[in-house]
Amino acid sequence: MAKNLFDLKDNVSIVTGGGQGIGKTLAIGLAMQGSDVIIADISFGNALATSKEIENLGRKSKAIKCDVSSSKDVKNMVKSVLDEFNHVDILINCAGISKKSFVIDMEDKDWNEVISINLRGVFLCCREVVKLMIKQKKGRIINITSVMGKVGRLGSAHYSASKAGINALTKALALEVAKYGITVNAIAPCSIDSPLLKPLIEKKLINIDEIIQRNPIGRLGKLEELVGPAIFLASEASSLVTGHILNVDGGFSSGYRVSYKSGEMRIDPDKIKI
Amino acid sequence: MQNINNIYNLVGNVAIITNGDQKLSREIAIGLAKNGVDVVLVGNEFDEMKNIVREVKNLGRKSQTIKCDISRSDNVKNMVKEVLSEFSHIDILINSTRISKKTLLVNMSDKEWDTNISNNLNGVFFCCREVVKVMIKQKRGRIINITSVLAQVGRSGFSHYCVNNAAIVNFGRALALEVGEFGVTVNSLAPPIIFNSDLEGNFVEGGKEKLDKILDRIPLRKVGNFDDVAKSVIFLASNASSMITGIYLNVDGGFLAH
Repeated sequence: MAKNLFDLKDNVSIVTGGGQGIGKTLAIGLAMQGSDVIIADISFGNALATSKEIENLGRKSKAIKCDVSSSKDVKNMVKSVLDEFNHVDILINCAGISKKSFVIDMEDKDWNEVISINLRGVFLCCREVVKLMIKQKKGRIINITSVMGKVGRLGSAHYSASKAGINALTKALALEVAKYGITVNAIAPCSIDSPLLKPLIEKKLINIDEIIQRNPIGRLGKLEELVGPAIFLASEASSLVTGHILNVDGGFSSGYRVSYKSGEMRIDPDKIKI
Repeated sequence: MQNINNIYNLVGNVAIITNGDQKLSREIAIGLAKNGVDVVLVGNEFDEMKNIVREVKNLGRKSQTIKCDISRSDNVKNMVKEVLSEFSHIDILINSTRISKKTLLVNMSDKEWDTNISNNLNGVFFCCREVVKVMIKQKRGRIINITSVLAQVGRSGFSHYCVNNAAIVNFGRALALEVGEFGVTVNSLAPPIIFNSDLEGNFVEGGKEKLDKILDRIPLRKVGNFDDVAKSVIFLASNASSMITGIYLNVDGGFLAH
């Protein structure tokens, strides 16, 4: 049963931001489950590299250069997909950027860039692809958001705003298209060892020990630990799940946690008697 | 990246399902058994549970039923001992709640309130406490609470049920924080507000109009199947959900997205 439940054979997926990091990992995961996958990315080179890996897995793939913040690019991208594949079953909106700045120091262009790529990009891709899905009376949209969509963090007002926007858009769109059998959900990762995290750690803008301590699972997640949840949302297994923000964050947003260094109580497994 | 096919593999797992006599518990038991899980059904309704055990065994898995009043600490301790002596490990605990009788608060007796809390919330506490000790030693475990949309929203006549479910969800979050570092995840799930089986019997009175009014509140306009919940349970029980803990998953057709 499990294999059929999560099987994505005969599906066609678009992954924006599929040229690197989370997007690339998800694209390859979808391909491993049987889906053909189109990679849309700002970097054609990266998109092509992912595309070749997917073809090596025996699936069809296509690389498309696409700036998700450009209406024209997105329309052309979808048209290009339709010309070759004639249907789209799954859309994963992963294209996004992260920047750090206090609001008082934030330039107009930094705000505009983050909102434009992260939020407007999701809007544009959803709008164009959902038109197809309505005709098909079938579809799955998965938006990659963040725990920062629900909570704030110093220096991330634009990022948090864009992700909170994605959360709201997810729910609103879910209500609009549910009657066509299309589900719209989001995955909110945190504490995942991704390329966006590395520069922030190197610049000492994020304390890695603090992340691990505040995360009940007690470790950073691997990129591939996002694949299972994405496939769940893309497959028949989640046919009644829509408008949901799925936290894949090691428990980060499940509550208030204090580090062990600060005296948090901790279970000693050796003292447990069964 | 390794081939991810194995992340859904549950073969050889052992699951305990409380209130194991219920229709939803049965479907979850069958779903797990089809995925290679041995199932122990726990509760008071021995005869009904025995029927389900037979079905699970027909699927080639081991199964047994243990008569256990989960509102009693000593019963639960003995139940866990019995499971361990037969299976030596416990991988999945599914806490199923029982729906309460509809009663307005002003009419609710002390006894009705206490019994409801005792059978649901306290039952979850006792089962989680005893089973999680085993899971911590194993350095792996999955606790899944089958709650309700009424963990998040209220409903007239169901204050006792709302309290139980809301409490179980947040209890789950707190427990998730305590046991996360040992590879144990704790999650809750809200099933559909109406199932196909609810459409039988005296629901028919009031008929299509009544059903339409309910469907108006469910964006996907679908009546739920027990299988819809079982699929989510399989996901949460597997390694595919290794970074998911302390959540409240809505398997409700979008009801809570409003």
